Amino acid sequence: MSPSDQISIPPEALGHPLIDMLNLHRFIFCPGCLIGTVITSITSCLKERGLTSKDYAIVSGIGCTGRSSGCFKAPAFHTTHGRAIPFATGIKLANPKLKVIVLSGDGDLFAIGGNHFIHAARRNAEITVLCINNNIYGMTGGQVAPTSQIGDITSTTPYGNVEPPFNLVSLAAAAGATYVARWPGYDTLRLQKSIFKCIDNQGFSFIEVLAPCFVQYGSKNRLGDAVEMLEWLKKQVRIKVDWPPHQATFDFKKGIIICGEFVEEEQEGFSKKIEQLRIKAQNKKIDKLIKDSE
Amino acid sequence: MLKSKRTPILPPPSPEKKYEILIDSEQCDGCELCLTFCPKDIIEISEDKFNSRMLHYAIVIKPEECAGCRQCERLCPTVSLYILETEIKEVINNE
Amino acid sequence: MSKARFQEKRILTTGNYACAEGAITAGCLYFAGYPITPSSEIAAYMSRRLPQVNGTFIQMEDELASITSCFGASYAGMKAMTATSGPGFSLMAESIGLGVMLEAPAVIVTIMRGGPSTGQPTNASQSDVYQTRYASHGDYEIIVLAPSTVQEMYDLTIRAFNLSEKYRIPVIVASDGILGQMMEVVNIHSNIELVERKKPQVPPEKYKPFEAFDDDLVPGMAIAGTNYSFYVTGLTHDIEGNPEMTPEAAEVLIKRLCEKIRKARPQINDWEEKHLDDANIVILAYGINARGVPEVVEQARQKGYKVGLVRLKSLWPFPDELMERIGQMGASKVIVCEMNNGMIIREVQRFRHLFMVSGITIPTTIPFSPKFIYEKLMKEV
Repeated sequence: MSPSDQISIPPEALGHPLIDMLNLHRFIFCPGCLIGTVITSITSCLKERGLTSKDYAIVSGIGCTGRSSGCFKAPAFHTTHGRAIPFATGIKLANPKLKVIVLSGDGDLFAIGGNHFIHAARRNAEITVLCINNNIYGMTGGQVAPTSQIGDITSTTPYGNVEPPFNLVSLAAAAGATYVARWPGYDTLRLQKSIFKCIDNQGFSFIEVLAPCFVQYGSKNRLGDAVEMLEWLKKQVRIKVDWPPHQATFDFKKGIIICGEFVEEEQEGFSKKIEQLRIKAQNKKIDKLIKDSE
Repeated sequence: MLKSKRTPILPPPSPEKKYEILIDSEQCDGCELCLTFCPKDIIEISEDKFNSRMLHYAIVIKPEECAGCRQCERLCPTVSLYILETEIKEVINNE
Repeated sequence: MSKARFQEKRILTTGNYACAEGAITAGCLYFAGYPITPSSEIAAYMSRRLPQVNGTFIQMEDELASITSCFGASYAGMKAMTATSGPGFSLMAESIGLGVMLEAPAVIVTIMRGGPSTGQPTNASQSDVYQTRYASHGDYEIIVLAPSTVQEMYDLTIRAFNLSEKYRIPVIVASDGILGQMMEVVNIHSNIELVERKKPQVPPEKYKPFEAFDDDLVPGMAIAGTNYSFYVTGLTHDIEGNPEMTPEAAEVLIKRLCEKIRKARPQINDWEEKHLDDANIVILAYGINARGVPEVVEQARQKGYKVGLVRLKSLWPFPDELMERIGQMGASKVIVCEMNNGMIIREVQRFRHLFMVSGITIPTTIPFSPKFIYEKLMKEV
């Protein structure tokens, strides 16, 4: 029996509601990896808001999650390592009508691109940053990441990691993000609600999505396959309401990961402020004052 | 299946609606996420069937039991599974 | 091609301000920069002028962010520019490769200062000539323009925008510390030709981001916010933008990226020449260092020596045709003057089968005086 005889449903019967918004041939992720789930969550949120490819742009950096921008049928940019946020800032400032979504990994956003992250949060650029946190560098072969826990075995820490990790939620909140949330990747309902809030938010929004990497992190730390790792993650996740961001514990050793929405505030976005600056600059009197002072 | 399975928020039972799980066997890579999170355990990975990429794919074993919570559709990382919702037209008898 | 009309006027201004005003004239609406001596005045001028013309000025957290956000703005439809100097340009190196790969138009002004490392921030130099060409890793061609007067800071910045829009490539304006800070009279012309980027030639459903239909090998550029959806990547890609890891894909892509610039060399290359017809010795210079050379040539001519002058206005791609022409015209020697340890001279040395090559290449921070060049010239004749 040839494999082609076994197709249970003819391909034309597949009318997945998101099929028009995604490029299926660019889904290159390992079976069971939650990156695909996050992509479909974002897409279904965009679809439900009635946004089409002229309303949004997707930017990603390098790494496993870096390859995710190609999955969207939209203006999608796969930039250099760590530079997804500046690229997105450029797009947003040049065309403030666009919803700009940055989708990248923990190494890309917080190691090589850490500086860009805190500064984009500080200036409240109206971009949505989704960090898919797998606590390791997946694509390069499982090296230690700024989110790897103390004691983790990776290919560059064979005796166990000795560096304390970043707490991404606390970092984002301290840097001035106006929306901060952390969700496990399997909790798609809550994740989608969060993404809706990000799309509507007039400021820098950040969601940390936990998507354990069973190929690199799981195998090196003996945590099992994709499903077993989700089971392991699920045991640790505690969902809290109105929890302060500095107490958003993320600790595999204690077995506590606090999830929820930590920051939700309204602040004027950066491109609005640029708009006001233009009005000020086009006022001839002020220009003359500047000229005189020079 | 998850040991710590918690029943997700199921939609209220609606007798007027019928849910059909459709799976694109070519796109499916048998990652087991859908069946892990299915509250009614109606999806399984086929043991004898495989697609052209030689991957065992997900099949529906108890199609009539689907309650339409769409957990599997939202979770599917390969966009290969979705739920078709059809309304059952009932003749209302006034007698 | 569009024409911009301006009021004809003469203004006294510095090189950095002239460069920034040139960018505004060319239609630049986005500037992202990071302060670095001696290019900071460009950012300062842009921060005042851009909001007046409905543009956006942003001071980013570093040069890495500046250049990348320029490409982002470029892909959202704005003409974008950044300005930097030595160490900042080193930081931008990686993303120049991204710009070449994404074929994103942008202008990078580098005000060369003494190096290596922090070097001499307040002094001029021409030591980044190789860096402008070979900054990023990989096989690529790039356009570099070298102004030598404040007027040219204005003119060549406009030209840089036109070239970058036409060929969809980052264009570098390599100026230097003295030229950036010095003041000269600039003529603002009333008629300036502006080039706009090529638009997609097919409807959105048939659009492939890297499919070039024309002989110039430049694909039409879709921007974010239109009905076009596209995927552009820094990975080696095929015409649809799909990452391709085959050797054939690399060959096709890199050949096209290089060929689109090599093919356009006659249109890109620009230089000023004097007394080449009967010259026996040709002095080749560029940038700030070329300002003393005309005087030397006139002096030598009065003494009866047949000396010619070539001043390069575009450094890369290197004008091979010009070198061949100098050889055919019967010059026996080319003397290259530059304020570095010998960079352009090595390009000229490729034509040693046509003429002898000698150089005055000193890694100094002040341009050569006419007297100094004349003394050196007298030793050569």
